[in-house]
Amino acid sequence: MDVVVLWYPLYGLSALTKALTAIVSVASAVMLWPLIPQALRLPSAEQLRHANEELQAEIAERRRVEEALRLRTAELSAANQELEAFAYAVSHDLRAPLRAMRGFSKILEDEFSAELQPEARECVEHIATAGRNMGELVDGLLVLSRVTRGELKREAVDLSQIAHRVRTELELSEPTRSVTWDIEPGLVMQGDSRMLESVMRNLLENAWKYTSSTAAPVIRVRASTHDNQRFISIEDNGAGFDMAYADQLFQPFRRLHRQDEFPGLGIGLATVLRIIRRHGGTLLADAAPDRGASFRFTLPEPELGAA
Amino acid sequence: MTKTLLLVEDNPQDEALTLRALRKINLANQIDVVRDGQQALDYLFREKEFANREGPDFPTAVLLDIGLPRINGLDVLARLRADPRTRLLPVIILTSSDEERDRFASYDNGANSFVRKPLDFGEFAEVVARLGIYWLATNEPPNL
Repeated sequence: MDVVVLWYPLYGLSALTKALTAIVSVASAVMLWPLIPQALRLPSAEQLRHANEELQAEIAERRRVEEALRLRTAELSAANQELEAFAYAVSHDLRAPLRAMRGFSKILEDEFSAELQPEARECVEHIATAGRNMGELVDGLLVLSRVTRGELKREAVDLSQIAHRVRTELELSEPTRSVTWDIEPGLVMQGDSRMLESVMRNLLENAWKYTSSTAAPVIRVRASTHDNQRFISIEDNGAGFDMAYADQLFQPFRRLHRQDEFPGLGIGLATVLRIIRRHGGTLLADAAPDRGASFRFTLPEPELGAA
Repeated sequence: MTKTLLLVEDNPQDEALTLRALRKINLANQIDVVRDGQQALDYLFREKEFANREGPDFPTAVLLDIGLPRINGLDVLARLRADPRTRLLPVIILTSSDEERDRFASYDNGANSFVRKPLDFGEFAEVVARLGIYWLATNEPPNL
């Protein structure tokens, strides 16, 4: 009959499906068996609490470090302010007695010279000279305290342009000198324009000064690469100095030459170092007596997106 | 009416040098000197020790130092500007400082001029002489 024909039994296929299912199930069970201990190892409430405590401790530690850092920053900025106030007071309060020393010795010289013995006149002269020197020192102190004061603005600064400007000024100040200049164009660095101008000015004025008794003086400004870092170097072939004294070079009012050799205050390089440090950069010196000096500095490139 | 300058100066040497420079141009007899900020205010408003001082009500101009004992120069200036009697009194700040903040604060408080005392006596004498001549003879002050 037709009905019987329609229900065409597939016992064989059914049995096959069941057998397959059974095999896969057993295989799954076998494969899952090793996971049981892992499942049992899931953290207990006790373990979770412990982990939580550890996290809390770490957060507390971070807070403590942050607080310490904040305190340290506050301390540093207070110390900085104190130093500035000190330099301000020193430079200004020292000026009044200086003006008196210089003023009254000048009056003695100008108006009472005839009444003074030669020895007395010499004494007055010494007082006047010392007063003038001290005036320069006081002004130097003021320059030093002032140069790194204020906000540091980072912008693109064309050091080649500054070098040309300083060159022109130096040549105008001593037109009889003949110096060969070699300034690489397009030396641009990121930094505070006022401070970098002071860096270039100090280094170039030094190069100019210390080549004053050199036969064929050369001053060179160029970029160089050391340890994958781009440095700007200012080089001369002048008097140089003994590297044995290099550690004194950057200390304020320390000098490696006598006043009768090369006059100066000893604040130029101290100023340069302060500025480079404030930028987070590096300043290196290299020299030999009578073989010239080279100063090179690098400034960290600001990270993208950082102010 | 005699014209006078009031010098507010606490440093005796600066005072002596200033008077000396003015004597050279025959202006020393037109100078009164007080030595701190409180004295300056007492002098100008005829109070305390200056209640019976002689001379005109107000000097032609005031030469005012900044670093003064008791009340400093900038505070003296602020008080002069706040008082209707001395609001327009010419005040010249004469100081050792060349700090931008002092200069700014001086003008901000209504100073008419800001002059730095040079260290060299020749220059100092010249600056003081010029100030004396300008404020006593050249400048026309308001009637106070």
